[in-house]
Amino acid sequence: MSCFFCIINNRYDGICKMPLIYMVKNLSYYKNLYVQTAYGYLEKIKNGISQLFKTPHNKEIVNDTYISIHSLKSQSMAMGYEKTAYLCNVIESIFKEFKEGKKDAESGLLSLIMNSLEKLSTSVNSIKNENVEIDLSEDTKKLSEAGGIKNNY
Amino acid sequence: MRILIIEDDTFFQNFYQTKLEEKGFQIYIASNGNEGLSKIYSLKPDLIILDLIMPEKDGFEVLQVLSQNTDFKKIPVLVFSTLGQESDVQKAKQLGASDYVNKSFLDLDKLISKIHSVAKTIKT
Repeated sequence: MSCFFCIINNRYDGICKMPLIYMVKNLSYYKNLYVQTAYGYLEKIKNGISQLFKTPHNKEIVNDTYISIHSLKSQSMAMGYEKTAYLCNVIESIFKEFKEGKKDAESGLLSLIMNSLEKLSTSVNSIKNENVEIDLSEDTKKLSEAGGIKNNY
Repeated sequence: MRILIIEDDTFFQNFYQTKLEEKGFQIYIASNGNEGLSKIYSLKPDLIILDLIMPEKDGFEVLQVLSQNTDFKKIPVLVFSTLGQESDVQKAKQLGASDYVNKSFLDLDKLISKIHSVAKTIKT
């Protein structure tokens, strides 16, 4: 079966690696659902980080923010927005280290994450309006290095 | 077969409930670990599909509670994983999960195959 992604990328090798979502009916329904919930998660994550600037050791905020970024990552991957998912994965990894007490939620790192969230918002806007995510590979690389996260992508 | 999906994300709840019901499964949804445990007690499902990262009791805590209950620890559990969760899956298996499936791949055939495979397992 060829999905529209394979067709637009001139790939007819019979091995479609795109998520099933592109081959199911009601793609626009799932895209709209994705966009709607993504905006919600981004808002929660931004609010969480804003609070962490003031109370960096608040475990509840760290955990709630971690859950939101995890969910955004999972959904993005499911929809085939890999670059968005990979940047979310780096932020999630940093928050996992905050949760486990391996890293402090210091303001410099939080500012970098906040910048990344702006890029993620831009990506979701692009998905909504242009049906395509933006290139986040440089942002992913920079945040991985700043956060000390091993990045295989 | 009655399946309880314990998953906080609306996107995945919607997708998996819709697609599995189309395949003839009876699907129940819980949005967090506490609600999940409550529904396990009341519904006694044939199988549980469990997300690991959730608010109000995560999947690991749910697995721990189940492992301490003589009746409910027999219910096979498939955990949902996603990108970067390899160590979480190993931890879940140590806590009693039967198998896992990557929810981001939306691979229904694989999920259904694993549902049938773990449902045959009688846990002791």
